[in-house]
Amino acid sequence: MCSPNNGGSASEEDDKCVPRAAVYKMIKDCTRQIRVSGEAKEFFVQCCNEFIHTLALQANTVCEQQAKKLIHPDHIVTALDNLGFNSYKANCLNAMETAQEEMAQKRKKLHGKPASIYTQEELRRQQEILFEQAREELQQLEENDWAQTQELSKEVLRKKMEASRTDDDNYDD
Amino acid sequence: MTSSNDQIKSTSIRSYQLPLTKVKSIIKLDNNTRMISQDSVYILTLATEEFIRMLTRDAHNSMKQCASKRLDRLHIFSSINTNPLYEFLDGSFD
Repeated sequence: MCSPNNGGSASEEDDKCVPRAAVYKMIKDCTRQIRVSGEAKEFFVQCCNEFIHTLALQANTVCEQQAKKLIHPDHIVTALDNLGFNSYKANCLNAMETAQEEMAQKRKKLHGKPASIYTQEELRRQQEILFEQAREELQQLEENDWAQTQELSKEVLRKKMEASRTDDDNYDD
Repeated sequence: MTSSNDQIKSTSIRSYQLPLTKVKSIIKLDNNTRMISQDSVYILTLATEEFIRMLTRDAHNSMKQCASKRLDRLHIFSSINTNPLYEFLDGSFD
C-alpha cells in the first residue's frame, strides 16, 4: 500500500502516508530501548493512515450533521468522542490552546504600532501647522510666479515701443 | 514559577512531529470530505500522535507478555484484537 520508493509512474495516492521516520521516532520516545521489526514499522504507518481516514470521515459526518461547510476543531473533538477516543481530548485541546496563545502573541508583536511620544491631539496640531506652512509657501510661489510674468510682459511692451519710436523718427526725416 | 510554566509551554509547543501538509493530503484523499480548517488539521495531527503513543504502549505490553525481544506485527495485531477501540483497524489489512 505505502511503497517507500516511487518511480514517477506510481500513483500519487500510494505515496500519501505519514513519514516512517517520524512515526518511528515517536515510538522510540514512548518506550525505552525497544527494537521494532521493519514490518511492524510499516504496519504502524498503515494504522496511522487508517486512523486519519476514520477520524476525518467521522469529523466530516459531524460537520454535515451540523450543516456546516468547514470542518472545525470542535467537529474533530466530537468525532474523537464518537469513536471512543475521549482520552485524547485533554492533550489535544491543551496543546492547541497553547499553540493559539503563541500565535496571538506573535501577531501582536508584528502588527503592534510603535509607541509614539505624542498624543493624538498633539499630532493633529503639528499636522495643522505643517499644512499652514505648506499653504503659505504655495501662495508665495504663486505670487512670485505672477510677478515674474508681469515683468516679462512689461519688458516685451517696452521693447515694442522702442522699436516703433525708431521707425517714427526715421519717418519724420 | 515563570520558568517552569515556560518549560511546560515549550514542551507542548514542540507540539507536533507529523507534517501537517502530509496529514492534510491524506485527509483529502477521501473525495467526500469537505473543506477542513487549518486548526482542525492541526488537532487531527495531534490526535494521530496520541494514537501512535497509545498503540505503541499496547503493542509493547503485548510484547512483554510474550517475552519477545522485538516488537513485531503480531503484537500490534493482538492489541487490535484485544482493545475494542481498535476495531476500525480490524479487517483493513490482510
